[in-house]
Amino acid sequence: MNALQGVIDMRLIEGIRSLNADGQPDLLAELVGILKDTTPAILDALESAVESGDERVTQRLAHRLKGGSGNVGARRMARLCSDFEQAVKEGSADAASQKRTVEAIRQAYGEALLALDQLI
Amino acid sequence: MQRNDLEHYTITVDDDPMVCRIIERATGVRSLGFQSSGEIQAIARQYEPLAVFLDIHLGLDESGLELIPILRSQWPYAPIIVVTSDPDDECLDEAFKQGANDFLLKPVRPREVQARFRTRLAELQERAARAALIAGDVRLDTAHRVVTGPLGRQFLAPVETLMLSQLIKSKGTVVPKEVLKREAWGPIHVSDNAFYRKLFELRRALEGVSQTVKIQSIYGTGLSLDVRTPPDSVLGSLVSHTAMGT
Repeated sequence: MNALQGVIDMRLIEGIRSLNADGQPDLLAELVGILKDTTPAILDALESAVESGDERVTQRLAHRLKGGSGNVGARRMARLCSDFEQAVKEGSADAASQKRTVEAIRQAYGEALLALDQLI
Repeated sequence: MQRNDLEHYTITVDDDPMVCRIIERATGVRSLGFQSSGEIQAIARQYEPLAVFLDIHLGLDESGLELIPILRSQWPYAPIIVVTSDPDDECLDEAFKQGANDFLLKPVRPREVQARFRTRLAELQERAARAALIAGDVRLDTAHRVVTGPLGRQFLAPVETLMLSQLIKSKGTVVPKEVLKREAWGPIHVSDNAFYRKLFELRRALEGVSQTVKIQSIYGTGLSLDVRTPPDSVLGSLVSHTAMGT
């Protein structure tokens, strides 16, 4: 479980688990399902926005990824997205660093999925 | 079953479908999810939610802020709780100015959702109860545009609600047709034809709920609310109905 600590916010996971009542589907599993269904397309769109230098769209997509990952306690990914959103907003990230960050977000997403799959 | 026939539900407007699922579980009340501003505006008239959870940043181009005044006028007594990931978001001030009642921080935490939902709902329901008007065996809930009586309940159009409100407030007097038009439609010019159509609908709604209240036309003068003594047979149900409504 310790390996999960940096990747996943376990307090948030416990909060989600507390909402499971008898006979209801597991909420965490449902949320992770939504994360898996929606994130790859947003990551691809983010990559395209960075490629084309569209900072407004980049910022919005980073914001969207921050929200989605945060909802399931994927805190490393959420932090990267949050920092990225801020850096683009402030204009402090050049094209090369933006591309590196998108790659780092992809990795964090992969890590988060591995961790979340252990929890459901 | 139509979605708007469900008795109790909230509405969540967020481009992330997870938020709707978490809110639904945390409140214990079904939440209908909408992912864009256009989607909710198109159908808002068909719904009467208990509360609205609204994301400030919707999709790539939209802002939930612009929706607040529209939803507030549509649902005057439904708490509007904005959802944001940034507590220092400058948009929050604007959201409160526009009519939001509270906010939630993302990631959405179940206990916080429960606490804010319950508190704001109780507060606005109390305000809505104060906005109820009673005449004879009829109770008009102006917030939800519902008129109830011993025979049942009916939903009214906004204009019908305003007409009936005015007639109840002026109970015992004759209200000129032009005054009723002004109260219901504001400064817009309304033909007699349109006015009488609405009056017909309103009379029909009253017949469906009440045994004692009717709208009387006073030829050449206007309209008045006629409240008769309830027949003995309905006294019992009137007492319990009134007790429930207070």
